[in-house]
Amino acid sequence: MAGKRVLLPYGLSLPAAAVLTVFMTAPLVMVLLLSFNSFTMATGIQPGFKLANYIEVLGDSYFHTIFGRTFLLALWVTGISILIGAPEAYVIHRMRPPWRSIFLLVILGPLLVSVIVRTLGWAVLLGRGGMVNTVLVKLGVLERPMEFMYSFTGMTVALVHVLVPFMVLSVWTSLRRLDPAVEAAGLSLGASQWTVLRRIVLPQAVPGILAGSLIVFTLAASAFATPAIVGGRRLKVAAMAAYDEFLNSQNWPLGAAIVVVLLVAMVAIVMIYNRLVERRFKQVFQ
Amino acid sequence: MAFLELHGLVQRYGPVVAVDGVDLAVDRGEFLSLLGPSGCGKSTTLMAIAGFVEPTAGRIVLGGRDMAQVKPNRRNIGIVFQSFALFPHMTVAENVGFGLEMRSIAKAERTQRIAETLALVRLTELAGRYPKQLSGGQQQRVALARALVIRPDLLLLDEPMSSLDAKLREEMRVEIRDIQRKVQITTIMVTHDQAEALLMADRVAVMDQGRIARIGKPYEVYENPGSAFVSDFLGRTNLLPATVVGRSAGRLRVKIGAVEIDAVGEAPDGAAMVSLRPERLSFAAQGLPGTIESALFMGGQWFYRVATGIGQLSVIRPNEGGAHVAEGGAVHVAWPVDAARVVQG
Ligand SMILES: Nc1ncnc2c1ncn2[C@@H]1O[C@H](COP(=O)(O)OP(=O)(O)O)[C@@H](O)[C@H]1O
Ligand SMILES: [Mg+2]
Repeated sequence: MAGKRVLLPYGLSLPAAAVLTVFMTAPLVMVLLLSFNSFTMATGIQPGFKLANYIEVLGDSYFHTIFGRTFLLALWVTGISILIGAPEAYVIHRMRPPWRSIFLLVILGPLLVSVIVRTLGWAVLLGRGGMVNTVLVKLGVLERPMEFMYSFTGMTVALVHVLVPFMVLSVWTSLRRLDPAVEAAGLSLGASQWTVLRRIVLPQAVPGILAGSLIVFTLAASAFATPAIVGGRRLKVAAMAAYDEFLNSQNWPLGAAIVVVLLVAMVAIVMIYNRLVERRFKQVFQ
Repeated sequence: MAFLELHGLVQRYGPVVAVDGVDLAVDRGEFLSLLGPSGCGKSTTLMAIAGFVEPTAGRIVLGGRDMAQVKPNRRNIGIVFQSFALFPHMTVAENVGFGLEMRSIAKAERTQRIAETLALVRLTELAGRYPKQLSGGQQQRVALARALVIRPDLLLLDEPMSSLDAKLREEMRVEIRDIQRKVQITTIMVTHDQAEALLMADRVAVMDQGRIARIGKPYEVYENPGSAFVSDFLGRTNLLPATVVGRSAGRLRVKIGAVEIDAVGEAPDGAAMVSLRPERLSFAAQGLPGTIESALFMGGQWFYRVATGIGQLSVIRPNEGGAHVAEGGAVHVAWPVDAARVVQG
């Protein structure tokens, strides 16, 4: 009887484990194995166990630029998402009931629209004759239209728009656990509203900001559609490079190596960041 | 002029009238308890005094100064919240020191005042802990220390004991009361627990539906509750519908069912209520005949329910170690004349 009890949870998680193995672990392992194969135009994919692809990805300045751009982009997008998303979440947190759900819907609404559609929307807005340029020129901020399309700025703006709802959601979730009396307590002790926000609310929102940054960072670093449409061919990111190797050069092993490097780097960054923040804000994570 | 005065305080939330014209005067150093059932407007009154809600009407005067234009962070009021509202990411010492830091008090003096206040609430050893590493009682003492360390003009306690278990609650009642006497701070405590209010406060204000129904020293309010609501809310009582039929020598003659008894109090002739405190009733050789319906043992006392000619009466008798009256036994219930009090229905 006792033995059965112990096994029951494992039995119950078996279907999920099976699905995960078939659809996630297996492809990952296959990609990993593929990355050690070799490829030439003449012979196609040759089985084997060589590190040549990794030497190329890690040694070639072409790939350095791509990976550098990818992580810089992810970093900027994450930073801006924190700056926009965290205050937005606080404002929603302070709203009264009917407005709160309305604005949550407004923020989450874009998630219901396909990334491609939203990004194409940005392409229209950011283009030379687009609304952003027209307004900036009319206002006298710019002398002549600026190139947002096919620029790093354009990619950042579009990705922030696509990903900021995740930040808002996760910060809002952690603010919901905040005891409302805590802010009143801070005020009664003589703190200004701003000090209360900075010294009392913000530290308690850290778990939400952390979770949000992890989501936004990983999604931004692995984003494909938005950088491809707004950034174009000249500003390749890692996901686009892998796509090119797979589908244009037919060099699957090299593409696989790019994917593995991206994945490993992302996991490493996420874990280090997580560890650092958790250590710094130990008390709010319990 | 009293230290804190509320004049005609009204607080509306849309259609809800949370506080409906409260007048109150609290002297310097006094401990006043706002007592009443849940939803009667106690917390709202407290939050208006603290400045977190803007009164719909009325004035709040603290130390001779009208508070209308004073922001909550400028009122110098210490508050202990029901949830304690400690800052989870700060240690006990940091929590207590926060208010001093906001007042730009120098580090050395800050350290000294934190130490003094932690000693006052007997938490010196736990200064480096975080709130989550403390028990409920310890958390409450941190909340109290944090409110006291700023030497506020006024201390507000909102149901400070409600999240503690029964045993701890009894200890903390006495402890908070002792601390309040020691630092002589003007205090208003909100509670729905009548025992707590009676035991701790210098004066008790009983609230009902946004108004103060009765205010006075605990003993006076208990003995002379004035209304059926207050007498029922403060302790146990037997409330009996009655008719005032006559009066003589400062006493009233009232009729309950078929029985006529003497009672004290003031009421016009006609329908009224009579309150009989169970602990003032006893069994005697003569009196109102009745039958014991149940006899419940409560440790320090026996709790009886007795069927009589004027209805079922609760009777509480101290456990004196001897035999108690068994269920089904025939008794006579007696009481001193001033135990029967006429109150407004
Ligand atoms: N922020 C608010 N918005 C609307 N109604 C409120 C609000 N705060 C309190 N109330 C209402 O006011 C009444 C009194 O509440 P409260 O002062 O909290 O009572 P108590 O502390 O005595 O239990 C209740 O009916 C409550 O529902
Ligand atoms: Mg309350």
